[in-house]
Amino acid sequence: MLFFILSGGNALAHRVTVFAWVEGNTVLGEGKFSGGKKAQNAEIIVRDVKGKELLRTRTNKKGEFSFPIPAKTGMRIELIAGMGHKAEWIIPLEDIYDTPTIKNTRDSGTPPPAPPENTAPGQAAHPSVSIDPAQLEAIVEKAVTKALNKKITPLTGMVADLTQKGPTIDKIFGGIGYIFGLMGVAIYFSSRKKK
Amino acid sequence: MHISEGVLSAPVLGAGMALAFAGTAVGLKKLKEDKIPRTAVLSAAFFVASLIHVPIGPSSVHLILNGILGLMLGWIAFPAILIALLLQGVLFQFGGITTLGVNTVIMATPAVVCHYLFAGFVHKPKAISYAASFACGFLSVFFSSLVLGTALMFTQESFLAVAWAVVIAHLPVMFIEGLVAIFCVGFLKKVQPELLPKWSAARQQNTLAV
Repeated sequence: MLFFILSGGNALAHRVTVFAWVEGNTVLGEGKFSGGKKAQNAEIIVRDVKGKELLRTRTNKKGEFSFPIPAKTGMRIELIAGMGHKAEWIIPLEDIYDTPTIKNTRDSGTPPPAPPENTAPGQAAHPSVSIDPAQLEAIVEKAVTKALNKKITPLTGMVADLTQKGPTIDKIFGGIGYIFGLMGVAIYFSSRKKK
Repeated sequence: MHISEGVLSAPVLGAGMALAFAGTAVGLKKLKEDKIPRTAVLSAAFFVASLIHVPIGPSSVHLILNGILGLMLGWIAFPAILIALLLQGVLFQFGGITTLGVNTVIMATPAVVCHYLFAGFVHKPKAISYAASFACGFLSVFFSSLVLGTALMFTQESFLAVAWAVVIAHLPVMFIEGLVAIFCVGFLKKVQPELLPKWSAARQQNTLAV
């Protein structure tokens, strides 16, 4: 109950959104209210595809949350901000399936490159020949993943901002136009009734 | 004030829809031709008002304007708010389609109540009329918070705690709404008093008094 009172200031806006993405073995995400305020200390409930609850957590002061991937299933992340505010985000199975495999190659990729350097002083004359293709692949993959992550992280932030954007001017004027259009229809019918 | 989808249980949603339907039916019956443009303008104002965020202290609040709507429209506030909420739901994803009925009841019922409480005082001398306008704007948000608390009560949250939290959270809005109501009524009294409710009755009284 205390939570509702604490988060009272936040729950004034009309819409809350939650956005989450997978990075390595963890799921990162953030919650925002319309108007750009962060959803602080809001409850996060993670369920699997069938609706079984996997774990609960809370957003921090910046409206962000993170948790390790609990299971290899699609996840539905619910954000509950109190006073009737709730939002959902779905992470499909493919997103999760992808990253652990990269993670695995990254993990198994790290040790192999080290031993050759240590154990092969005798072969130092032609080290480039001694790298076997599997190791090379692992190193390249690791480097690519690292570079990609660097490039993609800001993009993820941009997408998060986009999905949590407030109403745009065209929608506002569109709505006003709709209302006046309805007024026209109503006046038309009431004037026909008279005749 | 907008309850999101998936928060309330089906019976509450159903009851909200039934009440909103009944209120809208009454409102449409009272909607005479000369009131159609006024209804549309106020509905549009309500539609836009909730986009105006007023930064106060740590939180930002938005206007609701249901007091003014109720004061000027009475029962017609129901269809006006219903349409504005429908468009907010479709265009902005505020609230939602399933919760449309409940949200309409939350904001339109206090509007109608405030109409019957305060419409009679609008044409009284300045001080009384302004006090009534302020109370109208203030109390409409207050009552809305109570109705919101009632709707949430059925989903495991206890009424007192929720209603209290909602009222506290909306206190700044209540004051702003009261001031906005004073401004609107004061302006209309000067410019076009016939737009305000119970004008003909007030004019008769004035001519009798003179």
